Amino acid sequence: MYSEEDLIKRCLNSEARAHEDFYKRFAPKMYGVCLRFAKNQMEADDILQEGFIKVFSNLKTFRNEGSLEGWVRRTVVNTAINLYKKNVKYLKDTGLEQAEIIQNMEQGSLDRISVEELLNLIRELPAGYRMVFNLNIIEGYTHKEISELLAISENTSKSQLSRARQALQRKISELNTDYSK
Amino acid sequence: MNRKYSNIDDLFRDKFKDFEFNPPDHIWENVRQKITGGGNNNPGKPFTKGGIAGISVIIILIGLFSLYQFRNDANHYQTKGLADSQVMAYNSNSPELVALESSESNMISLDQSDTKGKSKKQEVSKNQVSRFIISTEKEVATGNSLVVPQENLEKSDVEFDEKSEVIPVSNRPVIGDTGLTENSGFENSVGPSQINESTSEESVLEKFEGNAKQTPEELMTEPVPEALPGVHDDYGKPGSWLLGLSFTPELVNYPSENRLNTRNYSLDLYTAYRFSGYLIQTGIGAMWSSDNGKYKIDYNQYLGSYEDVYNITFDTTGGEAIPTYHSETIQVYDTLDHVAVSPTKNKYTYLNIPVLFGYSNEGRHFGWFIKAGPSLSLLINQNIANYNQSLNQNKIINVENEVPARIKTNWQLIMSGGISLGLSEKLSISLEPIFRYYIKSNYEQNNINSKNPYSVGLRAGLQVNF
Repeated sequence: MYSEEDLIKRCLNSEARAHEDFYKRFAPKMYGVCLRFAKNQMEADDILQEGFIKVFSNLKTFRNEGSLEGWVRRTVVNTAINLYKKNVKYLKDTGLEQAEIIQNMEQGSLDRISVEELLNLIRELPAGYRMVFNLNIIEGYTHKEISELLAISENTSKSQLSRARQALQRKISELNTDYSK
Repeated sequence: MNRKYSNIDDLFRDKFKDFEFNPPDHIWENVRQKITGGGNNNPGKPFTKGGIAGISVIIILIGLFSLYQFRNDANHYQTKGLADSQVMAYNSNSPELVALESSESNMISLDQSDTKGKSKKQEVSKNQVSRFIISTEKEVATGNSLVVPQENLEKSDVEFDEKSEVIPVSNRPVIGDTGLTENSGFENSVGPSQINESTSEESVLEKFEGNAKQTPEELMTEPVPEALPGVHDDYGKPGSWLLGLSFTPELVNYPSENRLNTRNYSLDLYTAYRFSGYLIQTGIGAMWSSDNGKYKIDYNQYLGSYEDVYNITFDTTGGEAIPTYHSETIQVYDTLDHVAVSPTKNKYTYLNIPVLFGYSNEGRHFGWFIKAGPSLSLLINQNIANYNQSLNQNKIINVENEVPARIKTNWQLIMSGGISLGLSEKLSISLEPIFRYYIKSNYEQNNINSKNPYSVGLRAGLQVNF
């Protein structure tokens, strides 16, 4: 298996299989990211495809200063953001609410929730909720950064996140109820 | 093993930490085709094949048009010369007949006043007859001509003075009743008529009668008569050229990509050829455009530095151990990833080459026109601004320019209409609303789904008429 540096060199030299090796190395993880950001599989396919086209187009700009996977992931996330901004004209600035704390829920039942089920819960969220939740909770962007990326206010970002949490909390409770039965 | 989740954030973070899913195979196939097929990205070449093809098409169009005009002009003069010579031949062969000749723009003119291009033999006869040609050979043969026998003219009181070129009298030639026969010696007179066959003989007659009743002085001072029905008033006149300079601000609209909406400013030097009410215009222009965009910069924040001692050596030459510390400066960065958005403005310069066809109605002081046609835009310069340099002290992980790159060659369709106002005999100004429809998007990225932007603008021009 080639090191990341060698893989980049081979891709930049347009060696035959280099791009495919690169794709195979990162595509499964990136597809997981895409599935979280997309509302359905078809949209996830589009994000992954556009994301990798951008990755290969801009590979020469990679500075070797951070991890290659992190760079690819940011490119894919940015692609998802661009697609979202293209489809959503604006986000309503709703009221700020407190984050939901999981209370009175059996930890064992939370463990039983599969990642596929959580993925479905995320997908059921409205686009704005889903985007902010993914960016903040999973990808680690701050509300200030999200507000710049999505061209919204910080308060909007916070309120979207709060509502996303509420919705997810409710759905998780429903799932737990089902497990209890 | 059960895990403790204090809130749903931890639950999702933990579950998705190593989440992977194999994508469908067709995605790689699509990616592979895009990166190996080349797509439309080719930033290295200033002129693409499309651009070369476009310039070729424009040159060919202009060439064909010029050739067409040249042939038309040549045919026109050849025909005129042929008609003159045939009239002469007719006069020499059948001195008993004369022809009534009409000039191209003036229904009634006498060849005594126009000796250009005619033979001396014809000049000699200037005191003899007035000649008009307003009929085709066919009309002459069928009796529907204005050609009259010499004898009829001799009966008239038509006289010519050496000084005054035209002396019409009331006893004008009889029209229609020419007495022309098949063996009148006119068979070889194939002079093409300069008058549309649809011209009614009555209207011709009326004009002729009107002029015949005027005194020579009146006739000499009379303005040029109006054109005949069916004949454009500048029929046969050579076309005229104009040279202009215009400035055009435009608003470009991307129907589904509002963030790309921008303004263009262009300065055009153009020339137009006007003939029989029509015009063809081409030129060259520079268009300036810009994109307001932003960079997304992923970085690790710079926290500070310290001196790292990587080696210590001791100097004991003096009997005392003196340590020497070998160090290097280590910069410390935050391990958290940050993203910053840096606004930027990219500037572009295009070379525009339009070819427009249209119709113009130019009066002495005021005129209007409409025109349309293709225009080729070539990107000749671009100034891509860099991101905020104050971030450079941080560890930059990734920089992404949100503004997609522009393509090098673009075709547009232009439609415009406007008015012109004469400032003097040769100088005029024009004001012209313009609509420009882009054949494809200006941008390279495939995810720009606004394929057909359009722009509206207002062109103000200053032009010199030749």
